[in-house]
Amino acid sequence: MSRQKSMAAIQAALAANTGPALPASSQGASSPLVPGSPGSPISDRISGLKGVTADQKRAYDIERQERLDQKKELLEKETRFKKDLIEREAEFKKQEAAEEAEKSALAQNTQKTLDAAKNIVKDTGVRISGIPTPGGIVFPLVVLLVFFMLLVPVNGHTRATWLWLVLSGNAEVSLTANGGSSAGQETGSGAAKASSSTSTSATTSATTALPALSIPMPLPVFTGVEGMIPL
Amino acid sequence: MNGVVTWFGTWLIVIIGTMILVRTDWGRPIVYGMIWLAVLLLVVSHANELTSMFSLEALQLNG
Repeated sequence: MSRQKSMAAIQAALAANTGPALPASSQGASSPLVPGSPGSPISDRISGLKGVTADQKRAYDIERQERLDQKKELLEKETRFKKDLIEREAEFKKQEAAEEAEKSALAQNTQKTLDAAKNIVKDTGVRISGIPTPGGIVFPLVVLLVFFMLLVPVNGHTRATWLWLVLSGNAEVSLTANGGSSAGQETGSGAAKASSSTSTSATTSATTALPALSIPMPLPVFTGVEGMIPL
Repeated sequence: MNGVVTWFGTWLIVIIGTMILVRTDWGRPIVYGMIWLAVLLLVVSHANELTSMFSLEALQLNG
C-alpha cells in the first residue's frame, strides 16, 4: 500500500510538472545531462520534483525495474512461443508431406497389383480359350443323351431296353384306369411275362438250357414246318 | 408341385448359364470339359447296367 501511495504521488507530481526551470541554453533540447530535461532519466526528474522523498524515489525505481523485467520476460516468452510455433508448423508440414508421399506410393502399388491381376486373368482366359474342343459342344451332348437312354433305368428297365421291348412286341404304352398313361407295361401274349427280378417263360422248350431271364424272349419265328413234323 | 418347380427352375438356370458361357472364348472349353465329365460320371455310376448289357444272356437275347 505504501508503495502504491508513493507511486500515485510521483505520478501526480509528474503530471503537474513542477520541476526546476531549465537553463536557457538547453531549452528545446533533450539532453540526458541536464536534469529535468525530457531526455534525462526519470529518477533525476523525480528528484527535482517537490514533495518526493528518497524512499518514494527508491520504491518507484524498484517498481519500474520490476515492470521492465516483466516486460522483458514477456517479450522473451513471446519470441520463444513464436519460435516454437514456427518449428511445429515446419514439423507438421514435413509430416504431411511424408504422409502424402506414402499415400501416393500406396496408390501406385495398388494400381500395379490390380494391373498384374488383370494381366493374369487375361492370360488365363487366353490359355483356356486355346484348349481344343473336337466335335464342338454337340458331340459330347449327344454322347451324354445316348448314355442316358442306355444306362438310366425307368420302371425297371432302361429306355433302350423299353424301346427294344416295344419294337419286339413285348411291351406297350397304355392308358391306365385313372386316365393317365403308364410308362410301359410288358405284355405276355404267348411269350414270357417278365418281371423285374424273375422270369417265367412259357416257351421253355427252346430255352431249357438257359438260366432264368429277366428280359422275355422274343416270339419264335414261324418256319411253317412245326405243324407238319411230328414231335 | 414345389419339387417340380424347383427342379425345372434349377435346370433352367443351369442351361442358361451354360449357354452364356459357351458364347465366350474361355467358357467354351470349360463347358466342353464339364459335359465330358458328366458322361464319365454317368458311365461310372451306372456301371452295372453297362456290364449287364454286355453279359452273355443279354448278347444271346439281343443277338
